[in-house]
Amino acid sequence: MLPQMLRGLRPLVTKTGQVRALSQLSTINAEEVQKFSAKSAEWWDPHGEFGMLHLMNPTRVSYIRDRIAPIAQDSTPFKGLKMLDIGCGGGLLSESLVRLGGNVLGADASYNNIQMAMLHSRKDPALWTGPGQLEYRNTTAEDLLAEGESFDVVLAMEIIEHVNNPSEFLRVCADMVRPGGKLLLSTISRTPMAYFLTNFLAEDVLKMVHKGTHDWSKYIKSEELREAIHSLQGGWQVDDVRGIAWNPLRGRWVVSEKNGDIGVAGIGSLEVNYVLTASKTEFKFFAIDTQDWLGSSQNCAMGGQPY
Amino acid sequence: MATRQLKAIARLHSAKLLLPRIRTPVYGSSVPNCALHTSARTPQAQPVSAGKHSSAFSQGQSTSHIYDVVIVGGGVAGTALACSLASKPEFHSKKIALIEAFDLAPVKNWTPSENVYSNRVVSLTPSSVSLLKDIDVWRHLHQDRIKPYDDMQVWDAISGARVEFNTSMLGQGSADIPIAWMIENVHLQNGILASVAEHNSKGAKMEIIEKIKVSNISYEKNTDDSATGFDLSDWPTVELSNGQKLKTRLLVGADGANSPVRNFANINSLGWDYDTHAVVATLDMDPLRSNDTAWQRFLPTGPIAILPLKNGVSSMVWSTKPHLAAAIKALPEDSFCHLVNAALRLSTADLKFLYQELVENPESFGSLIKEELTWRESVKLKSKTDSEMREIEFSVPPNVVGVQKNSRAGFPLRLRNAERYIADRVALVGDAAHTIHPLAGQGLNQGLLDVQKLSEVLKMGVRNGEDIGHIHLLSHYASNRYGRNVAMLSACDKIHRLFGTELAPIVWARSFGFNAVNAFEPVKAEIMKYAMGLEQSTSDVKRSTDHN
Repeated sequence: MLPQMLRGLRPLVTKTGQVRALSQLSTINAEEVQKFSAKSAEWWDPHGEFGMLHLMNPTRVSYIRDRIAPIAQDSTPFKGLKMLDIGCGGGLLSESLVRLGGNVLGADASYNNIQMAMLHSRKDPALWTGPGQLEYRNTTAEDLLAEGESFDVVLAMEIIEHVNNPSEFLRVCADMVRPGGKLLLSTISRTPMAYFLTNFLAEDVLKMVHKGTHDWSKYIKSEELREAIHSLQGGWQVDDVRGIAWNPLRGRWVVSEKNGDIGVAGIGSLEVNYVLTASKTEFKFFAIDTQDWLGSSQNCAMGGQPY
Repeated sequence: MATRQLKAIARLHSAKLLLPRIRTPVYGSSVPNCALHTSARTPQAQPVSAGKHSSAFSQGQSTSHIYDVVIVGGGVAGTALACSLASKPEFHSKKIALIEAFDLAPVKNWTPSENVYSNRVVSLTPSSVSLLKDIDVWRHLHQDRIKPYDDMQVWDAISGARVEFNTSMLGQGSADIPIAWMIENVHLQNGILASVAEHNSKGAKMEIIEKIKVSNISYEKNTDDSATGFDLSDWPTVELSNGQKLKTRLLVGADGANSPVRNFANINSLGWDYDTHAVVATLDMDPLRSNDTAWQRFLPTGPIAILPLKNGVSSMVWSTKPHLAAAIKALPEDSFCHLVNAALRLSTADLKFLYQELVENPESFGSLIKEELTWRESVKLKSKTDSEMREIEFSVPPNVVGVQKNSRAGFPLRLRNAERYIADRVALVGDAAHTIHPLAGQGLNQGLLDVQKLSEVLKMGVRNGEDIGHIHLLSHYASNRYGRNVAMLSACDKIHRLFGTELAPIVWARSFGFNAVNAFEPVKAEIMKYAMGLEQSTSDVKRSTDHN
């Protein structure tokens, strides 16, 4: 077991902080670039189908920052943290995490998504000049777990409502979190209000996203998710759950100011989008012969300490 | 089992696009397009081990032209933005440059010389001062060279209606808050540059490129960067007169009313020219009277403002018809002083006669104005008691006794507002975004409010890991500033038009309005707070605290 865990500590990229292997860059496969650049541009269009997701991104990053590095004032609060963005799509969240210094693996089961994400990442040198590090992989959560990957922070944002077996998905994500690390999830609650907003309004009436994007029956209520996390192996506790709502007057997404405020105006039955942070208890006995890496893991997985 | 189920993992729509599972290699250790190429050709390739590309080499030379922010224009707005960014730790790791065509050495080496003042001055509102304190500029200024005033007298030449503003009316504890602080532009800029240097000594990396012009701004096909694998085709490329090319994530136009950055971004500037020029000058005032009041008299040809710089020295801004402005500017010193005193004291009918003489008989104007002024004043004060004479004297500014050498200058008045303040990877601040009638002294203050909001928005963007050139982020700046600037532009425009008429009903209405305003303190307090930027700053504080 131990060798497997240690393997998971292999850095995603070497930590030289440099852009590398320039000689290989001159060979671009024009066909492949052409094929995906239009798709990528569409995915990343600020006014396109994913516009609302783009607008939500700064708000959820701000939430992640508050949960993981509340004190840090510099521009790279996630420096040294190994992070997994599972279901990374076009790389929206991954890019932000890398800019904040994270050592990020963006994983997606869709080959197209990974190609779009890669193509887009060429548009920002800051993703490649460090200290943040970026890697995209076309793979699944369970394959990553099988390969022995582990992370300080696992983020499953706007994804659990799209998987077929959410409790199994949750277990796999949780197992990839190192002791002392955190798991962050955001999703949509299975309430009539959520049906009205995401299925009826967004898909049928306003046609902001295409029909079938959302499957209401797969939505999970925050209480159900909280219970599922508490029943996980490995000493899990839910630190924080908040609603995240679109404020049309301010033209931005806003996270509730208080832990526990999930629904609109604090009314539980009106909950729609919400975001949750859970942490995994640290197991001291691992420290016996792996002092070195556990030490670093503890530092990284902080829980609100400055670094 | 679980494997099959978990394969459905995808964000939003991706589930629909599920393709055969193809593993792409690690590409953090190689390059974006290389990885794309490799994955397409060898879909089953195993992840490249991290150590494989250990032949890493420094990328120093080839990324040195890539900037996070390039600010074009080293005026007050541009340098204040540079300073504001440099003052924030979030930007210490960002690569930022400011480009100024002229030599900044005279500004950096400026030292105050007693009693001699520049003719380019600004009246800083309390909200501008609080920004300057926040970004550590205020303590770099020579405090004895800044003139605060807490009293402002505004009156109408035709009706004599008058409004007096005094901060004591703002309520308890505000009696000693100045309405504004008078400062020379060069002094302000000197302080800003000193503060930038200090921020640089504390970890900021603000690069100032001076004596170099921007020769072209364009989007470039990605030819230069094929070596790095980056695709910077939608980043503005700024070509400098020394041949250097800078690529920037965000280009800020602080490059004045004829902004090349605005032209590059294809943003039109809307507005009109007034049939009015402003004459500015530094005046020596009667040193026996205290000089703590800002004065503004609305003449049918435009307002004349006398703003205190210190005891015995004031700054003048006189807006008038272009042909009069030219003649006033060219007058001998003593005649000029007499005419300014006349403009502050005589009736509009007397002034009309003087203007006519000024244009038609310029040779004899010198002796005429002296006689006229003395005679008219003596008539006005005839058979008045001492206390009445005192009251009349204190209702106008101290006598102008001299004008400082080479301090007279003139410029045309314009109103301009850019149709947008932002484009993708472009933001406009200060005069590049808007040019305002100077009658309320709001132009530079508006620019500083732009700077404050833009740097606040960019800081928020850095904190949230955003691409700070992205239009979504910049729109927070534009939506905050556009409406407020338009409101101020149109208020000043309406005042200009309102006082530009001698039509009796309008004169009656405006004098009624003036007197009513003067009699009704709460209204005056609100007007003053608005002009002082107080409303703005409190609502901004509220916004920034509840922002997420």
